[in-house]
Amino acid sequence: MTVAFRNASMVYGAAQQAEIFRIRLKHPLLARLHKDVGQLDRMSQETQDELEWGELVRRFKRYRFLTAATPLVFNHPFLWDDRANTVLKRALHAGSSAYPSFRPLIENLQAVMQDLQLVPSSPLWDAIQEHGMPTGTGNVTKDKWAILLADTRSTGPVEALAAASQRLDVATAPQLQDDFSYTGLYVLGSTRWFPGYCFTAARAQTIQIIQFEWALDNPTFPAAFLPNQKTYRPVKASEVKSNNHNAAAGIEEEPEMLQIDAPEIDWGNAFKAGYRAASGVGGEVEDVPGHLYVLEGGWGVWLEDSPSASVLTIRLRETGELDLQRLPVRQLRSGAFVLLRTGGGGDLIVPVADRMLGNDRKRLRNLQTEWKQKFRKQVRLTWSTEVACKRLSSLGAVRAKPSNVRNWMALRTIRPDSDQDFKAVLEFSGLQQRAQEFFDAMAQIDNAHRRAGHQIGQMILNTVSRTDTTPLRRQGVQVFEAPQGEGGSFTAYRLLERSQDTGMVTPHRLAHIFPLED
Amino acid sequence: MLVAVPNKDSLVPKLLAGSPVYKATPLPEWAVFFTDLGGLIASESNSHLPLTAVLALPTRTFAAVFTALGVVYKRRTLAPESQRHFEKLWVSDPGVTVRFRQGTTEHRGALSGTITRDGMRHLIITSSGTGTAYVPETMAHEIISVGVTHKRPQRTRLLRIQDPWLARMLEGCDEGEYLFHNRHDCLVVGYDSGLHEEAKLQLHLLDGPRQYISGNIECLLRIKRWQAGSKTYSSDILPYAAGQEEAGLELARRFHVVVYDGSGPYLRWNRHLGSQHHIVLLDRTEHSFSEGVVAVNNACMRRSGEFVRLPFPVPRGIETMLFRRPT
Repeated sequence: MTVAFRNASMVYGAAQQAEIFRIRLKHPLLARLHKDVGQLDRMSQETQDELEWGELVRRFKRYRFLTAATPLVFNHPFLWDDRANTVLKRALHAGSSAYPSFRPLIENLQAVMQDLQLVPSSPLWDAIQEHGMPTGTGNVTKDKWAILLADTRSTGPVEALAAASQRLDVATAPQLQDDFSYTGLYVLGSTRWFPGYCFTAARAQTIQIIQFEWALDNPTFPAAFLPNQKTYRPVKASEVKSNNHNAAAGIEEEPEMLQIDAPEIDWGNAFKAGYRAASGVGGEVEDVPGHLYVLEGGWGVWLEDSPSASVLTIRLRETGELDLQRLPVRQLRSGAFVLLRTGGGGDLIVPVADRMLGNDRKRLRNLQTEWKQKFRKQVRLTWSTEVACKRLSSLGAVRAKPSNVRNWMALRTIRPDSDQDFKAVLEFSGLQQRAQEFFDAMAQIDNAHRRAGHQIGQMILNTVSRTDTTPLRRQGVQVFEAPQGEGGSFTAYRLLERSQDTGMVTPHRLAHIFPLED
Repeated sequence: MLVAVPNKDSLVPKLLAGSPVYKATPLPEWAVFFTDLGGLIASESNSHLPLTAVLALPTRTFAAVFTALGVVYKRRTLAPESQRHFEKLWVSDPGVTVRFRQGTTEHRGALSGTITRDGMRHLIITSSGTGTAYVPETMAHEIISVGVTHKRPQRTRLLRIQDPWLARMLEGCDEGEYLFHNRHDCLVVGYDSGLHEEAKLQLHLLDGPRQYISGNIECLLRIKRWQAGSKTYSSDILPYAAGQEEAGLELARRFHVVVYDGSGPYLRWNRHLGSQHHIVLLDRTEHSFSEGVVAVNNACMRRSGEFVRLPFPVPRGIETMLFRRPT
């Protein structure tokens, strides 16, 4: 607890002393590229030809964002890789023959890109080195600076760049929710890309905002409460820096102001990827409604939209410890960490529960399949699910709604929660004579599932709590390997956003991650 | 309109944090600020309109326990027998003459009736100086003498406390009364497990050259939920996730000050805890911070009688807003 108290003191110390500075960099060549990308974006929106231009525009917008948000050299493969080059070449050949008006612009972009590839270092990295970047070993615990990145996926390449200095860390915004403090923080890019607390609950005594001169940004941090009219934390000074590469470029000095946005989630493509991942495995099972969740690291996952659906989550405490919590899916919020099984295949509960059922497993699972199949057959034989619900209600069911009936038919559920519902379902399926046999068997399976859930929870907790969770805080993704033979691996992902719309998904694909891009 | 509330000195100037073996240092400015704020709100009379103090913080860690420490420490000298005292006043005939304190001023008046507002019982006292004052049962100790029929209870019971740290913290008050009676000083609405850890923080008092006596915050707070068996209490925790039934709202409403430890607790429980003084601790790094800010700003716009200025400096990095709520 003394450590937590010391950490809290450190946070208040930083909050008291924090000063914010703004450095604006000139770089005409990059300014031209950023402007041209904006023009390409506008033109492609006018053509509304997503097929032809969509990927090229996305690649260029990502490049524009990353050149303003990371201190990586412009020809770094993380920013622009061979695949991007292929897309560019394809657009020059195929796209511009269909849309000749695009050709000059794309050729311009290609020429600027070629010039940028020759620039030996990133202007953002140069600025970091000029503005107090700690070098040497020094006092690693007391004098530590960090580069704050808006893009969590770029932490790996930037860490490699910063590795030369033991006193230079790489951080992302969620890390700044913890109780600790840096000596200084380099915030790269527009302040709009970061949550307000990065500046108003500063975790550093000095904050250097480094951005390009043409970035349309107004770094003001207003007071939270009504009577406090003044700005809560003003920017102390703003300076414009030129560097050597500008002279060589020989381009105009007054660039047009541009608002550069962080790449947004492309829900259309995300749904396409989601349906692609969910296709071909449905079989006999009826689809269920689900929301698509976008996870950190370019992954997506379908989670069922139902009041009974839940998912395992990790809560990181300020003390560095963590809690495992099963949360209803509908309570999930952006920023939560969901823990999904990513190695070993499928749901772990069933095999563990089967092991617990021992020799009786086959008989019990056969009984479970038997009532499900007969029930599904009877539901299909009725005119509609609504009619089946009415019939079930007349037989004494208390919760016969279409969504519940779909749940009861699903293979992953054991039986309806209520005895009255289960009795009505068995009668509806023509199994009333053997009702007691089914009640007893499902009780055994249910019991085994509960014990399996508890055992798996313990196993995951043991695995997760033994692991340093710094990567999870920083990158929003972390793989946890269970001991050999205990269930493969689990991955915790930070949840970025949930789709507004639902889709119909086969239950087998729920909680299975898929890449959002090819 | 800005109104200054009475100034006062820091409540716990002698407390030290850190390790007495290696380096014990005075409480940092931020911790002293929270205890001072707790003490200030604790000394607010309930005959005034209830006060809401809202804070935007860089972190909530330890904020609630230090605030509660300030509340409990400030109210340690108040007679717990005021409850019995109140019961007597509640059944007294109208017209009984009373003397009572309001802020730093003493008034004479007459008991003119009783009323229950927002689930809390109030005595109605009329006086030529203040007009009509509504004194809730949590502030009955402010009535310092009553007619000729009975007097405020005498505090005569003395006790030797086994814990030297607590004994030092309770200097100046009747220890027996403090330890053997339930008090309703402070209710913290928040996340039980985190608060329990924080309340175990060891603080030290200098007891001669290089001699320290140590104790923890929990020892002074005497939180009902964490007290084993039939131990008495001074404060309590209302867990954020508690159901309506287990929350024990009737008891919760009897506490003089409510500390909301975070946006979530404020948004969930504020409407159930109406007439007490509120301290709302909002953490800028929390997802629900903006939601909390909107809620307190709306409450301020809709209901504010007057803004209040803190009589002591606020550490840089903490933003505050204090306002009175018309009931």
